[in-house]
Amino acid sequence: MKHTHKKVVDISSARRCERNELVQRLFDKHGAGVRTFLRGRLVPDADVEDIVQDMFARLLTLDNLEQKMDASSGSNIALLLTMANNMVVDRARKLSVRQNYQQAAQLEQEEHSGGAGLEKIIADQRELEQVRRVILAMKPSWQKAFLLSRFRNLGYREIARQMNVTVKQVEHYIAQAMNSLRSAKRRNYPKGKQS
Amino acid sequence: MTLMEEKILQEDVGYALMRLYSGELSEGEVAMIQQRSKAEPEFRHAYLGALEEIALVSSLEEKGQLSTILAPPKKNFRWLAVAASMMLALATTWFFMQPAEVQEYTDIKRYVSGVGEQRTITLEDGSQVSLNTATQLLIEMSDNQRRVILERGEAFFDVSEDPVRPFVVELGQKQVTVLGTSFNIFKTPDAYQVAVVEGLVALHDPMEPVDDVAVDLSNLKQGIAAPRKGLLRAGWLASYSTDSKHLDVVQPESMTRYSDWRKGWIQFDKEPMSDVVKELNRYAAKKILIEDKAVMDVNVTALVSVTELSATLNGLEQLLPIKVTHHFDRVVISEK
Repeated sequence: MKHTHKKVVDISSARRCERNELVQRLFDKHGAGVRTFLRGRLVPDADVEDIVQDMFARLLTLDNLEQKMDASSGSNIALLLTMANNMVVDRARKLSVRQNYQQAAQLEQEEHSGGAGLEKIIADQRELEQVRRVILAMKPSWQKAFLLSRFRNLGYREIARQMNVTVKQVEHYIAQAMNSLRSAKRRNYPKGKQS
Repeated sequence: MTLMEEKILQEDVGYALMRLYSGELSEGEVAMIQQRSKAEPEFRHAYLGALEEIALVSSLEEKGQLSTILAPPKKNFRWLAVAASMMLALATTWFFMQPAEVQEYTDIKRYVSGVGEQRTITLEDGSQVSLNTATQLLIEMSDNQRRVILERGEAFFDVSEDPVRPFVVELGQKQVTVLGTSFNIFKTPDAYQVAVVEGLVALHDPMEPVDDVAVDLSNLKQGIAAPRKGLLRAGWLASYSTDSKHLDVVQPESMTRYSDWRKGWIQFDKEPMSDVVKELNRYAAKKILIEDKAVMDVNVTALVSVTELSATLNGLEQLLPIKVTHHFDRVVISEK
């Protein structure tokens, strides 16, 4: 019994060690790219390292990192950039809730009552549905380039090869796709109210 | 905001996002995005809004809701799909058998020079780019443009004429567009300095089209707010401050300072020692310090080598009332 127990611990620590190395390698290779992304994403210089640290910690414990990396046939930087953007958005959301006590209190109440929480879930669902519709309605070439980039984590050069078009064209498709997402959002939330 | 302006803004946002997610965003582009967001709240708002949207898209994926979009065609249509793909394959074969079709490819290369190092690159179009000390740039040659992103340092450009492929140097807040000419650019975090040795260049904002530039920068007064675009002629030097956004345009007595560094020489002409040392330190691995205030104002007129700095310092010591002391980590200049 004692022996088996020891073995289990060994395996898990070996796995942890492997993961540690994997994440370290990812950051050695793409750390600079992630930092440039964050600054280009208008994250204040003072917060960039915080977010990189958070990402590092999250990657160490992420369930299916190895699978995700295998699934993306391109460079893994796209995976990291997606994650970086999500973390920035999450952070901003939490921060704005924390700053607004009233909202926080309301949120707490919603959680207790359960009813309004459901409303929030439905609103989120509706927004997701909207995005899905926009993606479905995109021109096929924009859609394909966008999906390959966002979900297959392919670089623009690789997408160009797969779609048999030039890199410039791929850049154009992606810019257009991102553009149409943005216009969809604008129709949903008329301008002027957001800060 | 007019509908047209709105459309342009949307396109700029789309372009910025595309570059952001390319994984190849340059420092110049970061500066461009940051500057634009600071100057235009509408841009900032649209840009950050789109990024939130993208975060939402990735949550769509995590919930598996995109599988419908990415899924293969339905079963009963499969034979149709097969037939279609066979026809496509045939068409593709035919397409590739056409001899004239050349696959256009973008090619981005990065060049770096160390402190004290100089190097010259010859591009496929015959243009030459010389990197001075501590310089970093990216060069992209594509079918419709030749693009350089000068990240930092100084570079001299001797550009071959090519009317269909403009030669663009991106600096961040400004960029320079030419058709055929030679010019020098020195970029520091707070200033861009453009010296035109031959021909004509346009100095302009990144998103500004340059086919109708009417402003001649040499006619402008000193230290004015930089126009969105303007022309700079041979023999003129424009200095742009990234802080104040002001532009200074002057006609230097000699242009050799902006081209002769490529031969390893700098001509100083009645310049204070403090400026000379500042310039030499760009090339020095071991930094030079001035110890006595009086030495700072000593006038220097000399042709010096930047590749043989210790010989240069010895020469200056002979010529001027100064004393040069070499320490293990620095060089100190004091009064004789």
